[in-house]
Amino acid sequence: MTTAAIQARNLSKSYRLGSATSFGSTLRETLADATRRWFKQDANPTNGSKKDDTFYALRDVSFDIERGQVVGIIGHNGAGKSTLLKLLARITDPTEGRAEVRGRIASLLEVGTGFHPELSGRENIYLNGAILGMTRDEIRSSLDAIIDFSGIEKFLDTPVKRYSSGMTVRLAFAIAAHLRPEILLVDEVLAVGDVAFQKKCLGKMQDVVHDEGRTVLFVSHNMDSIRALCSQVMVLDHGKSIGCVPVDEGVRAYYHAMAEHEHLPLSQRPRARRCSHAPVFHALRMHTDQGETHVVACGGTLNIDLDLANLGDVTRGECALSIRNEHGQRVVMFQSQYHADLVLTGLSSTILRCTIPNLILAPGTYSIDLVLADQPEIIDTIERAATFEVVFADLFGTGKIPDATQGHVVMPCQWKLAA
Amino acid sequence: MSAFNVASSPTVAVAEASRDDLAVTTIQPRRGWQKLDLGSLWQYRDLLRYLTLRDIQVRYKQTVLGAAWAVIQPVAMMLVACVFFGRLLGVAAKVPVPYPIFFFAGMLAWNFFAGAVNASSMSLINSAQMLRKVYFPRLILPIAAIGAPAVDLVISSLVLVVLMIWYDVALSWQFMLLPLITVSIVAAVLGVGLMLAALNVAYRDFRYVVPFLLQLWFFVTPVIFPVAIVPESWQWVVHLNPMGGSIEAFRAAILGTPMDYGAWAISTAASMLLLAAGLAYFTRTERRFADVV
Repeated sequence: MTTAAIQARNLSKSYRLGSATSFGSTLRETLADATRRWFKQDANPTNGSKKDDTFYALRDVSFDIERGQVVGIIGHNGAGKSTLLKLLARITDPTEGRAEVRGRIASLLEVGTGFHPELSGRENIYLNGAILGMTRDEIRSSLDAIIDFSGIEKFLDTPVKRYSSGMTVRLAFAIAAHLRPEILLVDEVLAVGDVAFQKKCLGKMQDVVHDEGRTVLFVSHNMDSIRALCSQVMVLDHGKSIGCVPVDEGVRAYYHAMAEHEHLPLSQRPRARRCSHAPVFHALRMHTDQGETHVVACGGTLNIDLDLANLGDVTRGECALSIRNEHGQRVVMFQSQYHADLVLTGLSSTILRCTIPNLILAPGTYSIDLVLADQPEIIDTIERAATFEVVFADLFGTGKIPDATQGHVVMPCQWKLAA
Repeated sequence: MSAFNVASSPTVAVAEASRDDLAVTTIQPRRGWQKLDLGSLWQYRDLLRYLTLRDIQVRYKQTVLGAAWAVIQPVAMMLVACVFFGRLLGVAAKVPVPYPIFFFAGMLAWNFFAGAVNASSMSLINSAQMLRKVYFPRLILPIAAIGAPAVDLVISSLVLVVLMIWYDVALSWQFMLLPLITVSIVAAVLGVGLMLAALNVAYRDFRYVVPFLLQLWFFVTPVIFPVAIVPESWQWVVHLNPMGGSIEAFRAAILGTPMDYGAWAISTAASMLLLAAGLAYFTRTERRFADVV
């Protein structure tokens, strides 16, 4: 019998909503609460407030993960993926339940946590390494490997504030890739950085897993990297776990859960907990010249109407609409301020129309993610708010255009014999 | 130090597993008062080192004047104090040594105290992202914040050396007590700093309380005046102030003037109580930091 690396029993995490945070955000509120309780002679104050506004980010989750497994964690926004990692990483305590973790744990919930812009690359390697739980000797012994992996040796003594964002990410990844814990918890961090470097990191992670027998828990929306890396997945849905299952089964369950959400009106879709604002997105409609539809011909015009509400307190509202392909990769984004300098202010509700005049996406299925920010804060976001189909159109009069396996977009060009 | 040992069950306990030599971490809800986990602090000592270094490096890299700043500020304070308190209000006459050196010695200790309390009370909210994204013993942040003010203290004491040579003040054996006195000041810093750091996370209004508190505290601490100007029957009140007796002792150790050991003992006891209270509150509330910050 092998020993489980992680054994979790009935893990739950709840937050008290209402007063913005789990305990009063200002001293005045807390004092006011306390006096109110005093005068009410409430014998059991915590139970009283629990009834009102307890939100379970994670509910009664139990699982065993064997050593050497790479387990993907998938689920919709707000399903509890990040909360689960935070509990296992000991960043926050569970409200109920218990878990036993065998071996040293390192977590990578964000790339470059604690990086200081004024410090040089080298200084940041030591600082960030220590933050991630490495000792000075461990950092020293892998310093050359880290520098080599990052490919920034020329700028090692330059302050990080002069780095491009790409360089910063590479350096941060290089440090993280050289962590040597028995158990590694990774949140969706591979989503940033350029594709070539992502591949390099995935390769490195595969080495770590296969050669060194480490246990990895890996949160991602990208089903390709889940398939490439994981032996099992855990699907979370509204804070509950469907259990650890083989990858294909899990991915199917995930898509199934997502598809169920698609029947809900936007205002009732699950939101990430970090958005405490009242839902802004209420409805999305797509139409072309042919009327309301989910199918658009390649090269055609697509109009997307968004019904927005609860905008009363928004002063610098910017809406972003991004389109993902079947693999979960972002292909293109349309942003109201970038594209049209349109900033929402002083409106309570409105209809926002985004017109894409020449949709040159390759034929295939796409989904739309919505984000509304009251700059700089994101106040509402919905993943897979809707899906649509791009279908063949004879753009070049040749009867053929490239499909989604041959390229992301279909662009016109000229070919001729130049000899 | 049993004040904060009123723990319920030990919580995030790390025990050696006999089966495969891997430490087992148990994760479960913590409630009530917590035991101080010195083991994990020791385990993360390298993080403490690099965070302290970061604060020092950043402080001296960012400012054009760099180290000079640690000199200019107390010297300017001294000049103003000499004119207004020393001359115009006549405090200089009640001091057994030249007023500039009297004031400067006290100012050194006070500047360290105030700077360190301020830095450690802001340390958690300034590193909110780290609290939300990584596990490490939370105590490290407010402790590491003391490093940069300590370096300031060392640099500005160079001015004191110049003043001592100028006024021809000889060192006495009491100088050897300075490390001990510094320990009692650090205890006071941590006591207040830990408490305020934890309160700052929970209640953002404490951010505005800290400068105000330090300003009030400055005026009730014998920095610009000697304790001798307080009626003798009331001097014990000054010594209950954790910085009261300590600053007097700090000054006496440097200048070789008579040392009031009783006063220092009372202040040190007050500092230790403060430290125990600070640690108790900090370790009790730290489990909520990541959720609230």
